[in-house]
Amino acid sequence: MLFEVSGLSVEYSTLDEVSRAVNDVHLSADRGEVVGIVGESGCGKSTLALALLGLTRRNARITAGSVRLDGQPLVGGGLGEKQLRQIRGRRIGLITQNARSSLNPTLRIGEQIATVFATHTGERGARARAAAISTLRLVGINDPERRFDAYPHELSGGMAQRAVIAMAIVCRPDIVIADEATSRLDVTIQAQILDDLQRSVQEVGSSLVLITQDLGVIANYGDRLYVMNAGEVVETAPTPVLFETPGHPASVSLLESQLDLPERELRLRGLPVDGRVLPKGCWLQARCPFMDAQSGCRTVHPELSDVGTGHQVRCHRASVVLSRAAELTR
Amino acid sequence: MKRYILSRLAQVIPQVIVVAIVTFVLLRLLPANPVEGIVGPTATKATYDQEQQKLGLSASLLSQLGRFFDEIVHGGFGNSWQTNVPVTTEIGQHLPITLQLITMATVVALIVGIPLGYVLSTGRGPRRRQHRFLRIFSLFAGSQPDFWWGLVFIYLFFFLVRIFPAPLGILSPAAVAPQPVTGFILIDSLLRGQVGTFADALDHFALPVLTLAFVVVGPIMRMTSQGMRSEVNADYVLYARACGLPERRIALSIIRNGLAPVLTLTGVLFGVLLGGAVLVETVFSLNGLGVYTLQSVLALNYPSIEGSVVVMTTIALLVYIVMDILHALLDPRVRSR
Amino acid sequence: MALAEPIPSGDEPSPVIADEEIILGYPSLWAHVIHSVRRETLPKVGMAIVLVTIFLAILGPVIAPYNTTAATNSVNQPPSMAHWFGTDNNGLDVFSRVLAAPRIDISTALLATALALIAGSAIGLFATFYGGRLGALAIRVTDTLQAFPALILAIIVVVLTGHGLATIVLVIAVLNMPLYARLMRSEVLRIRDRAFVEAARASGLSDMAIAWRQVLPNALAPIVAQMSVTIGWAILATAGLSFLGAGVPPPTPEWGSMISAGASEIILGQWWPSVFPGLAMALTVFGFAVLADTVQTALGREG
Repeated sequence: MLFEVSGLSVEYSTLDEVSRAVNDVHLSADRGEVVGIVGESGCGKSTLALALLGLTRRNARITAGSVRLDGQPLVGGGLGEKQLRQIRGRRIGLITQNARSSLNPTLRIGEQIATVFATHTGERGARARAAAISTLRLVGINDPERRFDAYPHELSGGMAQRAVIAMAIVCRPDIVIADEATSRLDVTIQAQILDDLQRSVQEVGSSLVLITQDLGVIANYGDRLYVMNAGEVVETAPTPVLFETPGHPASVSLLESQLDLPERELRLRGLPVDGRVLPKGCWLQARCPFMDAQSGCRTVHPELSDVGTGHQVRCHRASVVLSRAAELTR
Repeated sequence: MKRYILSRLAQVIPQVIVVAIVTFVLLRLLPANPVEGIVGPTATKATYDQEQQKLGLSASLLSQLGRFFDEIVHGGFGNSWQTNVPVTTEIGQHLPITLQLITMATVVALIVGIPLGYVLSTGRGPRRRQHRFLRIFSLFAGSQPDFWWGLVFIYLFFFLVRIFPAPLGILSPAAVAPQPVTGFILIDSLLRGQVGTFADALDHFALPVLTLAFVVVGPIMRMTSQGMRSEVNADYVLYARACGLPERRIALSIIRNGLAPVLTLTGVLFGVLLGGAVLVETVFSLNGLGVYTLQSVLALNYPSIEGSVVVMTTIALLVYIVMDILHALLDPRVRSR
Repeated sequence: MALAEPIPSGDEPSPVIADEEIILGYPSLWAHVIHSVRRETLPKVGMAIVLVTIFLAILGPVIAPYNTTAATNSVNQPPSMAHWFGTDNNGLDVFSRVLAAPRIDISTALLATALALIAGSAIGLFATFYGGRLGALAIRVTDTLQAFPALILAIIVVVLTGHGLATIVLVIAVLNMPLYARLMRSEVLRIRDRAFVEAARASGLSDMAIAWRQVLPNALAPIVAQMSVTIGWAILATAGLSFLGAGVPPPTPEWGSMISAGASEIILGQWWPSVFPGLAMALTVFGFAVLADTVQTALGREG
C-alpha cells in the first residue's frame, strides 16, 4: 500500500478547552487510486488534510497515529523537520480550498511554482520556469507563458485554484491530497476544475485523496470512499457499494441530501457534534434517526466492523441501515 | 507603476496649494498685528500706514494672495521681514540641519525597531520576560515627551558622564565649518575632507538623534510586530510549509509582506518629526527649520512663516509618496488600486 | 512628542472589530476592559496612574503644601525635607507645583479631546450617513487639515491669538477632529449596509433614529479606543507649546513651562526643576498610553 494512515488523531485547544477534531482515523490509498473522503461541513476533513502532511494550524496538534508514504513515516516516525520538508511538496502534494489566500500575494504565481520545483529538484532558472509553465498548461491554464507573471490577486478564483493544483503536482508527487479543491468556486466551473485536476493527477501518475462534501464529485472519480463524521471514519467502501448500499446513517444522510431522494426523515438532525463535549456511546446519538438505546447507541462507542468485502461501518444499527437504505436506492 | 507615481505626485500639488492658501489667509485673519510689532505702539499713523504698505498688508486679501502666488511661481516666498533676506535662502540655511536630524533619527529607529518588533511578534514563546519588557518599552517610549527626555539625556550623558558634547549647537566653537557644497554639514565636511569636523558634528547630533529615535522606536516596534503577526498566521505561510519550502525563505516572505504597514507609518512619523522638530532643536540649540519657524512666528514674520509651512508640508507629502512607492514595490496589490 | 497612531483611510472598513457585531455595544466592551484591568498588572498600573492624575487635577492645588505662584527668596534649593522636590529659580516649591500642574494639563487635554471627539464624530457621521458628494467633500476638507505640521500650526494660532487656554484647547481640538471624522466615517461605511440597519429602515425608522440608535453604539468602540491616545497627545501638545513659550504663560504651574524654566539650569547640574515635572508628565502620558492599549486589546479580543 502506497499511503497508509493509522490511528491518526488531532486535537484543537482554544483558551482552556480541548476539542478532538480528528479521532483515530485509518485510511489507505494504493498507487494510482483515487480515494474519496466525504463528510458534512465541520467533520474534520480539512484538519485531516493538513495532518496527512504532518501539519496543523497553530492551536492544534497531532496527538496520536502515523502516516506512512511508501514506507516512510510522515507522522509518528520521528522524522526530523528537514527530512519532512523534503517529502512535502516532493512526494506528497496538497491542494487547499482557499486557493488565493494560499498563494503568496506579493510573488508571481509562476515564480512560486518554479520555487517549489527548484527547492526539491535543485534545478533553478530556466528549467524551473519551464517546469512551471508546462505544469500550468497541464492544469488547464491557457497562455501559461503570460500567466506565469501574474499575481494571485489578478487571477480569477478558478485560475487561482488551478495555480495551486500546479504547485501541488509540479514535482510529480506520489500522492496528492485535494482538500475541497472546488468548494469555494462558482458552480459553473467546479466540474471543469475537477476534470482538470483528475486528468492532471492521472497524467502525472499520482494517487489522489479527494476530500469533499459533494458526493456527486466522488461518484465520478473515486475508486473507494471514506465517510467521516465528528472526526471519525464512520464508513468505508468501494464507491459503487457505498452508493447502492450505504451502511451508516451519516452516509445515508449525505446521499439523501445530495441525491434528492424523496424521504426526508433519514437525515441527521441538527448541527454537527461539538468536539469539546462528546457523549458516552455513539457520538451521533442525539442526531441519528436510527438511534436505538437497546442496541447500545447510548452506552457503547461503536467500532468499525466488516459488513461486506471492503465495506466497514461504524454503527450498532448497521444492518438496519443497510436494509432501509437498500429500499431507498432501488 | 509609473502611472501610480505620477498620479500620486499630481495629488500633492493641490494639497500644497490649499495649505499655502490656508496659511496665508490664517495669518492675516488672526488678531496679531505685525505692523504694530515693527513700528511700536506709539508710532504715528503715517509711519504705521507706510509700514503696512511696505509689508503689503494694506492691499485686499485677494490681491495679496495673488502676489503671494506670483512669488511662489517665481520660486520664492518674498523676503523675510526681519532680515530682508529672501526666505528661500534662509530656509535653505536652516532646513539641512533639521533634515539631517530627522533622517538619522528615523534610520536609527528603523534599524533598532524593526528587529525588536520582529522579536516582539514571535509572541508568547519561551522568552516571556523579554517579550513583556519589549512590549512595555514600546508602549512607554512611544508616549513620551521628546523635549523632556532630551534634557534628561543631556543631564545623564553630558553632565553626569561626559560622553557627548554640550548641547550648544551643531559644532564646537573650535571646529571649522566646511565651505558649503550641499548645505548639509555632514555631507560637506566629508566632501571637503574635514573628517574632524564631520566627527564633531556627528558628536553634536548624537544626543538629539537619540532623543528623537527614542520616541519613534516605540510605534515602529508595535507596527512591525502587528504586521508580522498577521502574516505569520496567514494561509500562504502554512501552504508554503505544505510544499516543503525552507523556513528561511518563508521567514523572508513574512518579513517582506509584513513590512508594508511599517513603511506607511515611517512616512507619517517622518512628517510628525518634521513638524515637531522645533522642540528638540530648542533643547539642543540646533539652528534648524523648526527653530527658525518658531522665531518667525514670535516675530510675526509672515513671509518666513508661510515659506516654512509650505516647505515642511511639501517635504512631508513627498516623503509619503516615497513610502507609498516603496510599499507598491513590495506589494503588487497596491499598484492596481 | 508622542504620536497619534495612523488609522485607516476613510474608505476601508475598520480593521479593529471583526465581523461579529457588538450589537450589545459597550457593556461587553467595558466588561472586557475591566476584566483586563483586574487581571493583569500593566492595565492596573495604567488605571492607577490615570486615576491619580485626575485626582490631582481636581484636588492638586488644594493639597499642595506651598503657594504655587508667589515667588520667594529660597531660589534653586536642591530637594530637602522642607522642599521634597526642591525649589525653582523663582523660589517656588517644585513639589507643590507638580501637584498643581495636572489641573491645567489634564483639563486642557480632556476638554480638547472631548471637543475633537464630538465635533469630529458628528462631522463624520453626518457626512457619511447623509453622505453623497457633499459628505465626501467634507471629509476631504478635514483630511487636508492633516497635511499641516501640527505643532507649527498650533504655535501659529496660539501666538497670533494671544496665548490663552481657550485657544490652546480649540487648536488641539481642531487638529484632532479629522481623525475622529475619519474613524466615524469608516465605521458608518461598515455598518451602514448591515442587515440590522436595513431592517430598521424597512420598519420605517427615520434616518436620524437609525443613526442614533443603531449606528452610533457600534461605532463608538474604536472611537473610545482612540480617545486615550488623543488625551496623551493633547497633554504633550500643551506642554510642548508651553515649553516653547507659546502656550500657558507663567507663573501658572504647568509641566511644559516648568520644564522650560528649569532647562537652562540642567547643564549646571540643577536637575530638579525640570526633572520632577517631566517625570510626572512622563508617567501620566504613559498611564494614558497603557489605558489606550488596554482598550485596543479588549477590542481585538472582542473580534
